[in-house]
Amino acid sequence: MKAWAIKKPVIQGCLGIAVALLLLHNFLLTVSLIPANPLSIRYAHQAVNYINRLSPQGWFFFTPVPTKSHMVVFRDAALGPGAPWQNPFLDAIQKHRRNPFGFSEKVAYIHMSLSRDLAIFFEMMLDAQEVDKEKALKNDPIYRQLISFLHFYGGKDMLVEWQFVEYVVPRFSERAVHDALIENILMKGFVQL
Amino acid sequence: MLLIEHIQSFIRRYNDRSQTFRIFEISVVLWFIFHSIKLWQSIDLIVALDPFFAKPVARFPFGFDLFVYNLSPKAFIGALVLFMALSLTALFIEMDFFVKATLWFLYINLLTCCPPLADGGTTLLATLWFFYAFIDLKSLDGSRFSIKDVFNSVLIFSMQYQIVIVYIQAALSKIRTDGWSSGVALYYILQVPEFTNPLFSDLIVKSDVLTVTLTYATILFQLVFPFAILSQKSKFVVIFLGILFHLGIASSMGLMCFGIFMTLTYLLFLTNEDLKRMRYFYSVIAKNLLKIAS
Repeated sequence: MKAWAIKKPVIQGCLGIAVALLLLHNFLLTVSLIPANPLSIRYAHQAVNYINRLSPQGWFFFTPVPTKSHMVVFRDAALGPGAPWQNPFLDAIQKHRRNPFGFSEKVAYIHMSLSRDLAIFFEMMLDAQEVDKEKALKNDPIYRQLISFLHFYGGKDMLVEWQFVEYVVPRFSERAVHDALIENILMKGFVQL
Repeated sequence: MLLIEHIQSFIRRYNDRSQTFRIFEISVVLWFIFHSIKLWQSIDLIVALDPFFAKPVARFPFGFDLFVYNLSPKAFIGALVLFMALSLTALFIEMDFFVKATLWFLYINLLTCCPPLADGGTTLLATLWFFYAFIDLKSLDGSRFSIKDVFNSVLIFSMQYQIVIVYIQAALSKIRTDGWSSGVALYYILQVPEFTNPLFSDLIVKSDVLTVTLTYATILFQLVFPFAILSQKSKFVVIFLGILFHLGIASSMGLMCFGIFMTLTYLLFLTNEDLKRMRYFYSVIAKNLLKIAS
């Protein structure tokens, strides 16, 4: 009974602190997600820093309007320029299309992520005028990721030619004119596996 | 005094969710298993992509970073096996704090190692399950009012608020985004090769009426949800529409993990009383169907 008398205020205090933290969390969540206003601007830095840690992907993916998609393709350089390009994720993507309950969903996610990171790198390089783009790419972690991905699908001890391709979705008003996605090659190179 | 009793009674009624939360618990654990099997099928590729296992760049003094460790590919596989085993066990026993906390710890470490594997649902679940770990199902049925009831109610409210704020944020951003406000966002979304099911996307994209109607219906649903879920009368309707909405996303875009998880979160808004009403409702329907059949 005596022990409980000592513990009770401590427990109540801890629960009180926990409740305050929960309310603070809800406040920061609200401030970081509502449109900019005087209150959200005042606390935006702290709130966004905190909330982005909880959701590394960011919260604005709930409003997608993708106007382009990206793809990495490669081929064995020894086969010459006439060799067909391969997209190693195509099989997984097609399986996922046929059966969304199947197990290709995560492979499609990995492909999306790799493509998104490469697209971000490409956008950054467009803004940076005075940079050696090839050197910058080779120093970027995304390049290591690209090589390990080519290694996984391409094999070992071979020279591989790769391309990073952008597919632009035709504008809604022009969908009758373009019946397919518009293809642009953004980056290309060779890599020894 | 009367006011305090009134508040206590309100909190007790609000916390009356032991059964629905047990169903939520089992559903999430089943989802954990479903998600783990999907991860297991892609494990060769996951462990081959070396930079996915890079150390976090900087640790934030608050939040989940404190509990995240840099797993090697072997440790990742070990953690995934342990996570699956624990999830299977949790199907048959009511979990205590330590089991729930261990599942949460393994879950966030598995996700943080491989950020590309995360989607909106998986990251939302990390927060929800963290809060859920502190809820003691037995204390929700306690006969005497205590400070723990206040704590439980704030936890339950916070879990519900995570879901509601996602809808509010999504609706407000959509209204301000060109593709959504002009009613053509679905046309663009359904062109992404990774997440397009040709069966549904062709049907929607080829019809202007369907594209515009479904785009605006999405915004309308997300705007209405936070208010409709508060009312006892409209709650069931909005949950039914929400299930259709998320299963629609799951089937048309192939976002199965996300779609299924979001439908599970609706269990957080149901009380034991709602569960009784649903049982009664379905028993009446079943009886009528049997009558018609006979």
